[in-house]
Amino acid sequence: MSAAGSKGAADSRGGAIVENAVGLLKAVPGISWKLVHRQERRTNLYVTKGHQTESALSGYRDTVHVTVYKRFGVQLGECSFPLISADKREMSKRVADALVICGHTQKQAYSLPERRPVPNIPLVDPEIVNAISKGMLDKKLLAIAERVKEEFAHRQGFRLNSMELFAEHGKTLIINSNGLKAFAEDTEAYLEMTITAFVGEKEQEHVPATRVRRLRDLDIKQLVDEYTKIAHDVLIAFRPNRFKGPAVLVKDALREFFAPSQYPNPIVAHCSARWKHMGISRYQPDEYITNRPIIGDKITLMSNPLVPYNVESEAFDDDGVPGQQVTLIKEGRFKDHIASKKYADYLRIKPSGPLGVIQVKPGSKSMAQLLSSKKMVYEIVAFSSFVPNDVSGDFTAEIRLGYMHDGDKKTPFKGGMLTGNIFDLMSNAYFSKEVEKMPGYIGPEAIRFENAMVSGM
Amino acid sequence: MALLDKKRVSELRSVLKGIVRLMEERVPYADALFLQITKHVINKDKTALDVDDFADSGIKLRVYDGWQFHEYGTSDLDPIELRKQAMQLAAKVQLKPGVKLGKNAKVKKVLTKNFSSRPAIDPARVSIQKKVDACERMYTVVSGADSRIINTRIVYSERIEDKIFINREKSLWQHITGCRFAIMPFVQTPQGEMRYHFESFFRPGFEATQMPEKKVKEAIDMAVRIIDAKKIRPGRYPAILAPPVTGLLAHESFGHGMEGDTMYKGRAKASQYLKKPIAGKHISIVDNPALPARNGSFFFDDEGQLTTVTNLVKDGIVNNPITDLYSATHLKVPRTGNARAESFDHKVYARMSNTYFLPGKSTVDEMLQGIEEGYYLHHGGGGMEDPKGWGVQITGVVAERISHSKLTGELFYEVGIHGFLPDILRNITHVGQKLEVEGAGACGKGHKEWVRVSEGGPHIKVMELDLS
Repeated sequence: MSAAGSKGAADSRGGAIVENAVGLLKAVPGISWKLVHRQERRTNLYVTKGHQTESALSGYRDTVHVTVYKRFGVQLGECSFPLISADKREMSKRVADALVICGHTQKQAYSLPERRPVPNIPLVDPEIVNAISKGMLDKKLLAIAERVKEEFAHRQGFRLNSMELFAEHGKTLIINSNGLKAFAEDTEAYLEMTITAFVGEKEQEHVPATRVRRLRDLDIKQLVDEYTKIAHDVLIAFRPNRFKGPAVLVKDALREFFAPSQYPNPIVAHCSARWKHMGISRYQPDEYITNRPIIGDKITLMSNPLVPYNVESEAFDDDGVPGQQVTLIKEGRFKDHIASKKYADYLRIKPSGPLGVIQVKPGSKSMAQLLSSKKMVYEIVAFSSFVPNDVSGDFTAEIRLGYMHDGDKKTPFKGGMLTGNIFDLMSNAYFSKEVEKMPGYIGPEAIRFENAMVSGM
Repeated sequence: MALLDKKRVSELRSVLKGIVRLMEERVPYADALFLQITKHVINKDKTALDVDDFADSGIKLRVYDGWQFHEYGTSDLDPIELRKQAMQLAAKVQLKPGVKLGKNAKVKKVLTKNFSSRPAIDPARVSIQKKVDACERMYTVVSGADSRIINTRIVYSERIEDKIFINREKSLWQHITGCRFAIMPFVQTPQGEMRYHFESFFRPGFEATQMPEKKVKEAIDMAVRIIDAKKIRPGRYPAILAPPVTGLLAHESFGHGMEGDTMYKGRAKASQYLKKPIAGKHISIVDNPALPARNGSFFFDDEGQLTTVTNLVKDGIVNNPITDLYSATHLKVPRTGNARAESFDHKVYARMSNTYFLPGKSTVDEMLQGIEEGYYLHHGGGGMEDPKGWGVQITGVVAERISHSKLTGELFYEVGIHGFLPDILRNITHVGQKLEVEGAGACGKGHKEWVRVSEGGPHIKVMELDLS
């Protein structure tokens, strides 16, 4: 199914708002404008203790957001606001108020993007779309939930305490006064499980969450295998002593490092054209991203929003600029910005389109080489939470599960904080040659930091 | 978006009442929640000033079949469409024989109430010019204070929230305003590293822009001092937690473990401690949505429960969890006013509101006495819950070294706190006299389901705390 194009979504209340708003905005002389129309239909299933369904929720969300731009000589004022009514009188008042606010927000002028072909990235699951159109998505989710429950039925020492299973279908239309019209669809499913591993009265839990574009990408058996293994190893893990030496990030810890749940990794955040314009990016063109001499592999990092069915792929950004692959860091040196049209104009560069999947070039060492050492190596599988300071790059993150490699001996541990500065760590890092694809990240299966610090318990 | 007036509220009440009645023709229980949240945000830094408005508006219809909820959330407020959706929702329910329908329930009197927060200066009556001026003035003060500040971001954010809850026994409306004024100076270390400091001030109205001069000066001073801040040597130290960090301990480390839904799912270690001691008698922690004029305050929750204070820990004893209807019913514990949903198309969970340690008797000077080497923890960035293990993880802390019972002025940046919560609570030896509940952030369940909250407390002294 095609995910992108330039048709609209007129079959809705929002569609009526869009029609009236475009007519009204076109009639106001001397302004530019942008309109974003987003529709979402979702079904959420919540399973609680004893595998009992607590709630089944269906949702419909239809929003229209407008930005108006007004020239004041060489300056440009802008203001954005939502529209929730198709009433033309209310709409006119809203636009008039916004144009007054434009007088307060005058800044260096920039132009809106023009119409360009929207990349045709497959991001839609026909199974979700068809189930919504037939009013059957709740039943489909219930069937998946049953499969998850069955996976736990025969596993000794594990309990599925709760589960949340969501699926949604979204449509986005962006139109502007410069002739741009971009439309794209996407679907997403989310599965969160609370898994308890137990021996007698001793218990530990693991709460993994998985995001995919298609229901069929939820490989229930594989997910339950992987996550029960983590829950089990957390149960038998010991508390580490303080450690300074090589640490290898893999699996969830690696994904969280490069594509954190909340904010971009600081390595990526400093590529922002907005930050450059604000004077808070630490990067200079073609300069190394770290102040320290680089001893290990030099990182090459790209943003790619065009990866089929990846949850971080997007056809276009918030202004309608098409997605494209951009090399942000090459061989350890800063190369290019993630830039919206506004900041691209300010910096006199090309707009990049949206930030997408983080792709990192593999290294030359094997996983086995990264995990072996004359010294002890700490392998880190999952953090409790990884939220680095995006400006400074400093972080402290509690280790949910790791393995201590001491020769041939591999022992699970939990607790302790991995602490340091991301830019400093990159000065002495090695990447595996084996590659892994994850939501939001494609790249080496492991990264080894030679000078990591784990504070003990 | 137009603000709700009494006429519109009356119309909505009437429509929702009819819809609830319609659904209860077929189900044992039904309710409806309308919400309209408008946000007005001004961002100012050295490159630009931006003004953006946001809105979230919709209705959630909910029915209970005796076992589970069925819910429908929509942004489409058309009464005809709502009635159609309500009929479809009720038709989904398969009732077991003998279940009593809601229409047959006896209702003596419908509780009808209107609530409103009381801003000193109603933000809806303040012109855009005045709001922009407030941001420009603060920008000039902060950016001009020290040449080492390379940029300053000022954020004024105003939130106006209306909620109407209807079931067969209640018809409630609350109108809540909240304004936050935040300053964020950026600095650069001699090594080229960027750092920033963040300070915010919350009040129900535009008076939030009158951030006390002392607070502004302290924020500027802290921004400049963190230029030379070092990384801490990991270890176990005596520490004094300032109110923002005390609040993070109350919220992240303790509060999440006292959420009824988490407890019902067998995910909370707190279950093992209910009605048992966890700390000294000088320790009490509460969650209080009814505390006036805070970021986490409200009058009734998203299931129409009127709010009161919940004693999570009283005199060192773990007391009651915070609950929503489902968890309170299944845990057989008191219902508290903590059922909250991120929006109309999200489920409610048992969520915190304003969570804080209650004050004690000590002064900060008393706390400093006897600390040979330790740390005063000024601010925190955030934390992550671990209700099952009760592990503490608080990050982004700015610490100042204490030596021979005195603050030294030597700062440490991006410090983390970790450990086992019961150990930390048992190690609290002093609780300060002055209560401050000034937090103005958002709380997620994991990394989703965001709701506005506040947290705080007095200063507390912990004899042994793991810092890294």
